Amino acid sequence: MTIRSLVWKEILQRPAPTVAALLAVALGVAALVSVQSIATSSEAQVARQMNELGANLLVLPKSADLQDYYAADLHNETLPEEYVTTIILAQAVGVEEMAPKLCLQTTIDEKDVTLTGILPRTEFFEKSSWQSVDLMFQEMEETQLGSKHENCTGRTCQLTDADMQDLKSYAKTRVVHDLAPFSILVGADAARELNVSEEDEVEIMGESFKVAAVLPASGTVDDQRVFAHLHTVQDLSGMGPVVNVIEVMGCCEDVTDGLVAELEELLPDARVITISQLVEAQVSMNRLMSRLSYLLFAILMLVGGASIASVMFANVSERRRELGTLLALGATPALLQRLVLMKASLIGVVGGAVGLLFGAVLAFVCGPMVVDVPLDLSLQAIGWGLISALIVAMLFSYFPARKAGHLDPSVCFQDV
Amino acid sequence: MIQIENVSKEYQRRGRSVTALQPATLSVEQGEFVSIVGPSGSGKTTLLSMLGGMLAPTSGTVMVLGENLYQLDVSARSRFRNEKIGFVFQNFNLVPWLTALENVQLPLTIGRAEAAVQRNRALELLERFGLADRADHKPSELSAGQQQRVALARTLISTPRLILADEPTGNLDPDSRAMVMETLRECQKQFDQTVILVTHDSSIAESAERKLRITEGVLTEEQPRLNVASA
Repeated sequence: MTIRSLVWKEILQRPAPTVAALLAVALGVAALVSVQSIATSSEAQVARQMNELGANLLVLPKSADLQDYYAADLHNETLPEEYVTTIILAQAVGVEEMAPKLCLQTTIDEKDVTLTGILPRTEFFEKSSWQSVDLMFQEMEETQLGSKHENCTGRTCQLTDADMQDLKSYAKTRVVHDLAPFSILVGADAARELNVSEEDEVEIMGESFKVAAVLPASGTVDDQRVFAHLHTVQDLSGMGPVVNVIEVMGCCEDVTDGLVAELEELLPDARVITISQLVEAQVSMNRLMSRLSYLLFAILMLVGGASIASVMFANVSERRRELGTLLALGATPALLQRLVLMKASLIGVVGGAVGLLFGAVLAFVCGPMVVDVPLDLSLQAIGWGLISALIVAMLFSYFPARKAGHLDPSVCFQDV
Repeated sequence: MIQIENVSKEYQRRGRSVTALQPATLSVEQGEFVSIVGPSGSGKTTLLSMLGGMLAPTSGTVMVLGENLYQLDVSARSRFRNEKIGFVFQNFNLVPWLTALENVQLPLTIGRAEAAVQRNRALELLERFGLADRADHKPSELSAGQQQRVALARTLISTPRLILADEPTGNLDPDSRAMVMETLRECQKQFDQTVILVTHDSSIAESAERKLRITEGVLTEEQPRLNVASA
């Protein structure tokens, strides 16, 4: 038998208080790991979006409320579609592509879906009102929609014609070259939900549509959408030539500020925002969540520590005669202190590990519900959680351990 | 073996000084069997605690096996107790969550003996006390007599030079009482161990080689040392 096995056997004999103290610690670690993992993943997602969409702008109706870039068109406010022409004619520096959208809430097979109207690139140049500048359009169709940005440091939208012609690439490029009036693109989640695949026929609002492509998962709300030609959606909605949003893709972030100013001047009735402005709120929320998680962790660890101290004090009091007997048998006060601290460290380590597992499960299960992003565990939170659990357990057991070390060994003769 | 010089003990209770043991001088030879009698609260257990290195006297010196116990630091005193002194308690003081075998091993566990040595020695002793088939039983699964035998085995596992017994037969039936006393005497003879036993049982006290009495903290010798050679 070893001193370690002595500690283990005592815990097994009286598991309830130990488990209670352990759970208190586990709760703190779980809160830290789950919230931090969600915050970190959300931050990473925002950074990815920033990277992908850094030079993009949104042109919205002034009154539209906006919280998510990918859901920028999910509101009831509209802009005239002719704003697309206005932007093209302005030949703003660095405009690569544009994606006007109109959303319509409808049902397919009695299931709610968001039908999103998108305008294929070819259509930008086919509207009758734009024909007057046909020659200029022909040139633009081959390159970009605005003026070339001199000494451009990078193109965020390095789209080739082939990219745009592959309908499935819409999930990534957000631009299609061509789309037939009664063809639809179905997001990955929506396809699963509606149980449709390519070439299937689907009835939407009394019209028959053919599934042109099922899009690969993008991890955004687009996965739950069905995309159709903008003009078809306009006809179905009966709202006329309007859109909810115009997404303007810039060539690089260097042009963003200039573009915002230019578009604001060009479209005084619209609101022009950058992706950085949009994610600012999300970044602040992530930071707040991260700070709050540390605060919550500190409070829960204090509660856990108090619980450990209480359990340990009670344990030392209950075991007075037993500990006195060990002293009579030759145990040193330091050995008794070690018995208490070993038990505490076990509570800290196991509590930390249980908290880590619980936190990870919580993050993976609840994370996607909260922030709708793929989850990665925060290694920093794991490290902090495990080390703090051990330190708190040891620290709060110091006084109970001291009490054990100062026990009067004569207590073994008493009938306690 | 034991030499105490002018040893006294006073406690402070509610601001008042209470004398538990008046200055006492006593010498005990190696291999002696000494009984201590006296009414409850007279200071018997106080004396036993001081002899065991667990309670520092207010004055005087306690020498055991040539060591001035209270000049040793706490750790050295604990080690000394682990190696040289064994205790037997009225309530057995077995650890309730350990088996009989593990309880017997405890002094060797504390002394960091090898696991195999601990186990073999403990099994040997349990067999000697007729408890080999109870090695895996918890104290609550044993009778009072069996528990005291386990406690005796625990005391003897480190072959202490001095055994301090605090009313070891107080909670036992006559058969168990006889067995415990027989064991203590056997140990005394076989291993030349010194036994100091506190008891309320006059027949047990009378059977010792020396009988001491404590009354209101005053230690007196009632039955002087027997001359074994002439007895």
